Amino acid sequence: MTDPDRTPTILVADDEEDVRELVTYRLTRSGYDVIGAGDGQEAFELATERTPDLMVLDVMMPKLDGYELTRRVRAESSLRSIPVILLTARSQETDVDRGFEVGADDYLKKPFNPDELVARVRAVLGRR
Amino acid sequence: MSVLEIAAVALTACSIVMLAVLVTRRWELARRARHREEVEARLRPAALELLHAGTEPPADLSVEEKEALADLLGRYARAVRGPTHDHIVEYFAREGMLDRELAVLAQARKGWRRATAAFRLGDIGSVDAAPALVRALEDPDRSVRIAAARSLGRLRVPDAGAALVAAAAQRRAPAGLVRWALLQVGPPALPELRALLSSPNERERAAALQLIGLLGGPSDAAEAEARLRDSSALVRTQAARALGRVGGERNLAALLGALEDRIPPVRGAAATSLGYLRDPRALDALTEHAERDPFFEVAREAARAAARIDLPAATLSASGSGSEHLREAVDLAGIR
Repeated sequence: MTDPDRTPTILVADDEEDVRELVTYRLTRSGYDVIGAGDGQEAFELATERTPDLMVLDVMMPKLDGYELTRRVRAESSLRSIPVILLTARSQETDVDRGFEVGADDYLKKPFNPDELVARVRAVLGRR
Repeated sequence: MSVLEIAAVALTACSIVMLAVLVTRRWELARRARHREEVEARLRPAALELLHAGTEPPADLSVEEKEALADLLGRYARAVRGPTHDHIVEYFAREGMLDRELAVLAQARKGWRRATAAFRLGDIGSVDAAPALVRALEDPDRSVRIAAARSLGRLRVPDAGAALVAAAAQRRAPAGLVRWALLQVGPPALPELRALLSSPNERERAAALQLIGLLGGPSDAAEAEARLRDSSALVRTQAARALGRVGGERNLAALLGALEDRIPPVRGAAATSLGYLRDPRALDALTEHAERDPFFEVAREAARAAARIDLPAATLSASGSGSEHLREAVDLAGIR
């Protein structure tokens, strides 16, 4: 269970700096601590080091894509319970299915609505 | 000093000067890029505040800073939608940027300026730019037409469907880009696409059918089936392909008919679509084509479709026939 008095930490991984800035800014304004990563490998290392409360991951990332990263997170006992929201331009049904298959908790299409992102983050964190 | 020596010295001197010019230019471009990054980094908090809270940026920005802010907001605009995006559109409208870019698109003599304006109009995100962008699809400069097609896709303007398809059919814009733009628009583009099915231009009819196949639904199947009798093989091919997505059991007979079309690509498309429909009644005809169709692509597609419909039956047919295509299709289906 998340400690209700502690500010939740969210790991945002996206190779597009503009998207990372937008997500980080919006989540920070909504009261979360945000750490950022520019590729999947860096995100995995940061997750192992900091154990965030939630991860917002781009699907198409260098080194390790969002699907593979989610799969690794689910396979790692210390990270397994961290919720994952996939954020991506790929929005066909098969892509969505694949995201859930590898263990993602939610899925958001790019271009995204920042208010919707915050609502989804709250919902996913509230389910923990 | 001989003439040869003088020429060698002159050539060396020219090379050194050219090298110096290139190095200086590269250095200058890098310096400008660094400066631009610094300006953007300074303006980023203001841009993010504008996006998320609608907070007006400082009033005393220089022309350069305003341009950098516009570029930054344009990039952000590609990533967001909803009220956050609306803040960007409102800012651009207040600053008169929409009118400015529209004027550049209409009046600039240099093609790259018009193309930049067409590109920016897509990022600005106001649908008021749509009529000008549709006109820009006829611009004599290809880069302007490409930027206009891309921006119409970004703006998701349903009314631009016919103009986009026409631009692709007349090769004024790349077909792949136009498909992308229309997929961005989505089902609202369908009425315009359906109207294009009666175009006298076969490429327009074919492009419209292809997109209807991607965006449409079962209600489009009857029209697609009717187009299997079109005089153009290009249209018949796209009709057969579309039926693989929007068609159903009631289109089986028509697709089996298309499997006997005298034009191989039509037969190939019909075979593929029969595989998607997965109706066992198509199995005999597909096996027959897999074994005997004289065209490689058609035989291969027929074999794959047969394996997709009924793998055990296709395996049996493969073992009793000399069709390499059937054996390959069965093997591939087994791997999957």
